[in-house]
Amino acid sequence: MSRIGLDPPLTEQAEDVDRVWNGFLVAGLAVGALVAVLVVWVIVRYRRRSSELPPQRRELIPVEVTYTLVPLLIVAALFGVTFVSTEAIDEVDDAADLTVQVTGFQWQWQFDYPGSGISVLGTETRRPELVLPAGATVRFDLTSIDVIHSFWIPGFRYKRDVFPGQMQTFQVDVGDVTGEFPDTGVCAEFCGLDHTSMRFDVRIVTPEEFAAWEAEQQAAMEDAAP
Amino acid sequence: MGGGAAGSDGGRRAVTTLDPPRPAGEPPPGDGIIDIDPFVQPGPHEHVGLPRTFLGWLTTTDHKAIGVAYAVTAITFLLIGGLLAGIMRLELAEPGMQFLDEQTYNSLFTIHGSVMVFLFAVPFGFALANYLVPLQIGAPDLAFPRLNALSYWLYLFGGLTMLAGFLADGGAAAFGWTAYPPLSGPTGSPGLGGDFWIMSVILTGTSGTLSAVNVITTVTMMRAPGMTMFRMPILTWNLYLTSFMVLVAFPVLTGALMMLEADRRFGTHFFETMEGGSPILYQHLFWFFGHPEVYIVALPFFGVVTEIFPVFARKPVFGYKGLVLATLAIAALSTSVWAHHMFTTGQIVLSFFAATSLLIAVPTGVKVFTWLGTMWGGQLSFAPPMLFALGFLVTFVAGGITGIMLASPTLDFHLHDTYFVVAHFHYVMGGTVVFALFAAIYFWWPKVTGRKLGARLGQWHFGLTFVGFNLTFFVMHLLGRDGMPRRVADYPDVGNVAVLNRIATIGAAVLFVSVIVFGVNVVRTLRGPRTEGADPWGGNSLEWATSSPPAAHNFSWLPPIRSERPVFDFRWMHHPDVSAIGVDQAWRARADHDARWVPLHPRSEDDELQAETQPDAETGAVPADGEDATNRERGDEP
Repeated sequence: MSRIGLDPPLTEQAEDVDRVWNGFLVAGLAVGALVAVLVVWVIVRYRRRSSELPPQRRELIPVEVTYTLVPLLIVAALFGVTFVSTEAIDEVDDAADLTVQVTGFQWQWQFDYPGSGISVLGTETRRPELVLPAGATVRFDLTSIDVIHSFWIPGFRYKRDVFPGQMQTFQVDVGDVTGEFPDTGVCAEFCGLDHTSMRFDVRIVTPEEFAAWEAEQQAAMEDAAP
Repeated sequence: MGGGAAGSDGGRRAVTTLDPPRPAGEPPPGDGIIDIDPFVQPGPHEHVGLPRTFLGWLTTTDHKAIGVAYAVTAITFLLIGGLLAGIMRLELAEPGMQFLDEQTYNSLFTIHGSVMVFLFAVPFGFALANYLVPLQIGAPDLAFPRLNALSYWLYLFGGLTMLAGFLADGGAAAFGWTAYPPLSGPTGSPGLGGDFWIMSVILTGTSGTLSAVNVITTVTMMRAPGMTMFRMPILTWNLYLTSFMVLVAFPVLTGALMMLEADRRFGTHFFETMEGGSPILYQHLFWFFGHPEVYIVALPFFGVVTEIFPVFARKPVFGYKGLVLATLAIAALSTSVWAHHMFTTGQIVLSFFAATSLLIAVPTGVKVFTWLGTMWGGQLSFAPPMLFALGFLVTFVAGGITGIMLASPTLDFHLHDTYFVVAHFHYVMGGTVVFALFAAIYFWWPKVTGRKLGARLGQWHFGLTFVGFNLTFFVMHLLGRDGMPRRVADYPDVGNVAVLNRIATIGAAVLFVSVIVFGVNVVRTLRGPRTEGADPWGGNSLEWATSSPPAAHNFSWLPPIRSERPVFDFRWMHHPDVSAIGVDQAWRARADHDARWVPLHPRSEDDELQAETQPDAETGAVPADGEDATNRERGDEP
């Protein structure tokens, strides 16, 4: 599956982020366009045409107050949007359907599913794959055993730094989009020599497929450890 | 000639007689503009310009020579940092590893970032402070000339230490310019390169702290009579406030790096989790330095364009006091936004730092509208300094918009540590700094060298820089949002990632060409004769009230200082609109100014003796006497 541009939002939280992004983008483009128009206007309109001195105006208090207060209002609105969405995205409760333990180390990832005892470990030749059921509430417990890493799935629109000796937790509500997203997961915090290749695959499957995958993995583990 | 015979009584009297005859409101023939050149000619025995010998450079304490040394060194480091970036862009032009290994790539971006931040951007601000602050406030030098020389040499050797890391066993530091432990600790980066890096940053940090002390003292204590705080040029204001931020921020970094070095070599465990230390503590300390640092880099360049817009619009700064207040607000807020670099650590009060970070957009927005207001209704001409200042404005607004996005934790969770952030800080720190830097170089080049840089080549330089810069960095926004993390030597060949990276590399090539055009311009100009007078642009502030280049102790004569544009007021004295200072008021102001000129240092014994034996008959000459004594005494300090 080839990807052009950004992965679709894979979680409900990611959809929130995209909505906030659109709001910020519109506000930013509006301000940018305003400034661009003003810059072009002054360049065209006030090109030097004579050697006379132009009026030496030093201040115009109403204008100055306006260009202080209007940005303040815009910023306050943006803060409101941010505050609400950040709270929602960062919320962790006990209602998770599935917990995944993520361990980062130089330079691989390990995904443990404590509910089913499954453990997925990347190797130099094969990227680890994170398999998640669609529609589930998934909680991630993240830790590192050496330096700081950062667990980022662009489809989640979310990343969390992974600290040695600490447990970080976040929670997402996986959406209904299923599919394979190879090579999408990334370590976002520079972590040394092989940081570049510390990537992983993400696959979202239906709950039935997920149950089958779990059974398959458990069988494989039993085979491997007689 | 003004102050020509500095030291002789006759010379001092000449200072007052140099003023043009006091006319009763009759403008001089022609367009009514007073030419400042006849007033500011240095005397025949005064040393004009830069040291001419190697030993002269080694031993100089002249703020102008040290300022030029700072600028040349900083620009050399800019070229070195740019070269490192160019190598990275070549490596990233295609997916897959081309000609570098990962270790080398990691060293390259570490040293690229460190060189650009610590060895180019901050020191160039100090180059401006060195050369321009004494000139803009009418002082003969910085307050502590030898401390200033020490700052420069610390900086130079600190910088060389950074580059020496490439020769160290195991290569240069490869932990990013932020040097987060545990990666930068004894286990994560055992090589000597890390130690070179830490020592280098400590040395340059110390240099910066000393320079800040110098600038603060100079601006506080050594302003010419009439130069009140609210008549200081905005550049001086910004350098002044920047210096306070340096005093707040740099010692914290120095301390953090000493702790890191102790972890690395002396067995302490400040930042080692397994031993009870705290890696997040380092991040707090680093960014408590790091975010004021962004404004330490930016504010001097905001000051630069605030000098340039009014000159090329022939108008005063619009909303001067608002601008100063905005700068104060930025300086104050900058100490409370640091943790927006740490939103993804999960250990931060998100909303507090989101609020302060968003809030800082307000004073920066005020600045943008102030610049627009300055140009509004003016008579704009588009010499190269103005072109680069406009380029700065556009780039800065673009970087500001992405900055607002990143100030929101919601968006930062996705965008943090990606190429979006790379694009953002290259717009705000790379682009604005480089555009304002070249604006400054084109603007003050005649003051430093007595020659103007070629306008035609300057236009080409600007065009290529603008196109190359935006080609290189705009696409990085898209790359980052699409999922490309920063600090990677390679990327998967999916979608349009490879195409966008190739565009960025082409942009970097265009930037390379633009630098060559600039180099040609510099060489061609320096080969030509000195052609420029004291005030080639029709400037505003006091640096244009002395010869180009200025004599050793800067001024032989000063115009009356009744606004933040003393040179403009003087030139347009006969214009009815100018700053409400009509001709008569200007001359009254002049007498007022003379009467208030008190030497900061006690006069020498010779002068005292002379004053006792030859009581001055002309009361009008006394203040001028003081003026000259001040200049001479400060200069002749053993």
